[in-house]
Amino acid sequence: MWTIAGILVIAAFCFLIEIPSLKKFKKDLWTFCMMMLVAISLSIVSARHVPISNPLDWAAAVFEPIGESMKKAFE
Amino acid sequence: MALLDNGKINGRQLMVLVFLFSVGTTVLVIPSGLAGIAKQDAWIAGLVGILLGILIVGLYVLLWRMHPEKTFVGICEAVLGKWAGTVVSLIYCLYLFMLTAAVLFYVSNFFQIHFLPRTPVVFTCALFAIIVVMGVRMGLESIARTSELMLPWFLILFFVLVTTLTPQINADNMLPVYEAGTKSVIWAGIIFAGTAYMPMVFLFALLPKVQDRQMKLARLGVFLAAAAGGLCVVLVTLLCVLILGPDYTMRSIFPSYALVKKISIGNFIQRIEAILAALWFITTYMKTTFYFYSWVTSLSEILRLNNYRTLTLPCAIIMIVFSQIVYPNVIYMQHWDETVFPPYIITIGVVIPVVLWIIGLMRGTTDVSRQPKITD
Repeated sequence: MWTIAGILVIAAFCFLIEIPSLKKFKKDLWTFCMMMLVAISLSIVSARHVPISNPLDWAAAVFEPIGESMKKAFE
Repeated sequence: MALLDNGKINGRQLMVLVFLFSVGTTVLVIPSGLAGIAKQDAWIAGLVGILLGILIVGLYVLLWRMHPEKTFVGICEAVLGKWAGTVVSLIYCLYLFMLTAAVLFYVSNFFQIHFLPRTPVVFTCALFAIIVVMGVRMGLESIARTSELMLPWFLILFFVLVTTLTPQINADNMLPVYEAGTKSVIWAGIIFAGTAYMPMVFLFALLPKVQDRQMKLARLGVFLAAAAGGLCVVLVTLLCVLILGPDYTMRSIFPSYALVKKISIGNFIQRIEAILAALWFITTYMKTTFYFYSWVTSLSEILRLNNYRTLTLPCAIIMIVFSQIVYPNVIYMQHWDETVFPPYIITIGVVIPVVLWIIGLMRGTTDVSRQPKITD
C-alpha cells in the first residue's frame, strides 16, 4: 500500500511541476497526461509484482537466431 | 518545425561528449566480453574494434554532412517519406527506450554488488535517474558544459589509475600473442565496436545543434575523440589481461573494478577502487543522459510537441520501471549481451544509416541544390 501511495505522491509532484507551463499548449498537455497515465499504471503494476513483458525478450525473438549464426560463423 | 532546444554547442564540446560517450559503460563491462572470446588477445581485438569504429564514425560523419540541419528523425522523414520515416523513427525510439533502461540497470547492478548491497535497487535507480532528468531538462548547453568540467577529472583519475597499476604488470600473461586467431579477434572487435561506437548513432539528436566556425575541424575532432576514447578502453583491457590474466578477466563481471582493487603502493596506498567507480560514473552519466536526451527529443519530434521537456518526467518514470525488468538476472544479461546485442545494434548502428545514406545519395542532386535555400 505504501509503495502505491508513494507512487501517487511522486506523480502528483510531477503534475505540479509540469502543468503550469503546459496550459498554453493543448497538445503537449494531452501528451503529458497520457504519458503520465501510462507511467503511473506501469509503476503500480510493477509495484504489485505483476510480470510485465520484457522489451529485451522482443529483441531476442528477432535477433537471437541471427546472433547464434553470427557466433557460429566466427568460431 | 517544433522548437525543441535552442542550445548550441561548439566543436570542442562535441569532442568531449564523443570521448566520454565512447568510454561510457564500455570501460567497465567490455574487458570481460573481449577476454571471453579472444583470451589474452583481448587488446588486439580492442584495436580491431577501434578500426571498425573509425569506419562507423566515418559513416555517421558522411550522413551528418549530407543532412547538417536534421536530427535522425528529420533525416528519416526527409529520406524515406512521411510514413516509412515515422516507422523507422519509432523503431529508433524503441531502441533508445530499451538501451536507456539497460544502462540504468548496469548502474544499479554495479551499485548493488559493490557499494549498497542492502539498499533496494529502485532507490539507486531513481537517484541516478533524477540527476539524468535534471541534466536533460536544463538542456544541451548545460550538459555540454558539465562534460567539459568533468573531463579534467576523468583524465586525472585515469592517469592515476594507469600509473599506480603499472608496477603490477606481469608480461607473461600476454603470451602467446595472437593465439586466438583472426576469426575470434574480428568477432571480439565487432562486439567492441558495437558497445563503444555504434551507439553513437544516437548522438544524431544533438549533431544539428553543433555550431562551429570550422565545421571541418569539428568533424575531424569526432574521429579523434572516438579513437581516444577507444584507446582508453583498450588500455584498461590490456592492463586487465596483464595483471589479472585472461582467465580471471573472463570470469569476472566487472574486471576493471577487480583490477583496481589490486593497486597497492608500498602496502600503504590501497583500496582506491572508488576512483574507478567515480570515473565510470562520469562516463556512464554522460551515456545515460544522451540516451535519455535522444529518446525524449526524438519522441517529441515525432509527436511534433512544442517542447521536449514535457516528456522528461513521465519517460523517466517509465525508464525506472523498465530498468527493474529488462535484465531479470545476470545470466540473462550475459547471454543477451553476447548473442542478441551484436545483430541488434548492427541493425540500427550500421544497416539503417547505410540505407539512409545510399537513398540520400541517389536522391542527392535535387536535395543538395535545394538545401541552401531552406537553411538561409
